[in-house]
Amino acid sequence: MADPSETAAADPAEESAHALRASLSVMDREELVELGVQLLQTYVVEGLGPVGRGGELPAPNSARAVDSVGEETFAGLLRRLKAERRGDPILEKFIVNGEHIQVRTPMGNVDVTEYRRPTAPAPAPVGGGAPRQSVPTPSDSIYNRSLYPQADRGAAQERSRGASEPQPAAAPSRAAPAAPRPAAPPSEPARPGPGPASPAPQKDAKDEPAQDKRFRLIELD
Amino acid sequence: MEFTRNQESLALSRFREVGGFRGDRLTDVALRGMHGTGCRVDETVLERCDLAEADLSGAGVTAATFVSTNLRAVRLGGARASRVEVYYCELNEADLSGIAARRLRVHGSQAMNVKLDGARLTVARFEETALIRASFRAATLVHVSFSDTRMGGAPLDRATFEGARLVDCSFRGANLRGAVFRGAMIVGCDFDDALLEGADFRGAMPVGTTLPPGTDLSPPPPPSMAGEF
Repeated sequence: MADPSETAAADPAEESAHALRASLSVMDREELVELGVQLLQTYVVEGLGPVGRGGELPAPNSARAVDSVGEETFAGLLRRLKAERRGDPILEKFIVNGEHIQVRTPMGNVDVTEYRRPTAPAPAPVGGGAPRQSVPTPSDSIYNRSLYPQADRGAAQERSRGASEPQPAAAPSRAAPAAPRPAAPPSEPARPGPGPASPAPQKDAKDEPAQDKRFRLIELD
Repeated sequence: MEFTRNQESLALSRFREVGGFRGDRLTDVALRGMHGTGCRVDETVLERCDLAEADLSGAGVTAATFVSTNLRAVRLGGARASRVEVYYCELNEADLSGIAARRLRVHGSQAMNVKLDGARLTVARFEETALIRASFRAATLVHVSFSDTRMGGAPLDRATFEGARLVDCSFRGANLRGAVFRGAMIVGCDFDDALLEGADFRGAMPVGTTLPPGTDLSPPPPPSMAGEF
């Protein structure tokens, strides 16, 4: 036979009941009565759930909704009132977005509660590990192929070999830029063919540093 | 009745006549230091009023709303409150010892050094309210939550819950640095993500509550007379 004390120790419910008994036994009779009243009134008569679920909205017609002071958040209160009194001109001025509340004023929307920016950076999109189109690499830029003689050489070799071979053999140089294409703006990859000699990109490259500096300053402002 | 700026004397006349405020609305009324022990404040809205240092001990407050009102060092000891909402008020140094409050919401207020010793709070919510060094000694808190969406958790550092009975309370994410829970009964409370550096849980009895591993729950040393003064 198992020892009852061991069983009590093993059962978490029994253990917590034991701890509760120990903490309640030190209380005065009056204190116990007061606590009992508070607990029964709150959880039995009014039927509230645990405080963690206090922010949940009760059904608009339920008895709880009439008397929910202290139970719901400020935003929850506004949401409930807005749901109950649709078209109320004053309530219409409140914009409730989650726990963030704004008020419409003639000067624009004014924050009542401070908006909290998400602290963690936005998650990278699927396949975000691939370099951006604007960063030229041999794998993703067809315009800068001349900058990467190895890649060109390889392509030339493949092209010389490729007359007899099936088409997919020459694909690696083209298949690579195809992957990031959906993420890039449509205007960039739309230019067909290898056009590294076209003057426009070179001119852009010359002007870029000055423009970059200027825009950086504007962004800083 | 409605009272606005410069109608303090009218408001006080009404207060004396009715024994409090009933169904009234007071806006921009200065009643600093008024004496209203045992008065009744029912279904009344006080907006941008000054009730600093007012003595409302033993008052009965029902369905009242305080908005942007100065309640600094107000005395509400032994008061009974039900369905009271406090928005953007100053409650610093207020004495609410022994208050029995049910359905209380305090939002966006300042309540530093507030005294709630021996208070009985049931279904209360403190939102965006600074409760630094607040005292809840021997208080009974049932279904009370402390939250602050701006800070991520309620500022409750150096607050005292010594000998308090905390049932179904939420301290989620609260700043409880240096808070004192000595000898407190803690039942079904939520301390998730709370900052508990230097918090004193000696002699506390947590039941159905998860405290960080290694929390010292050993009984505190007996108080010495020298430590009292």
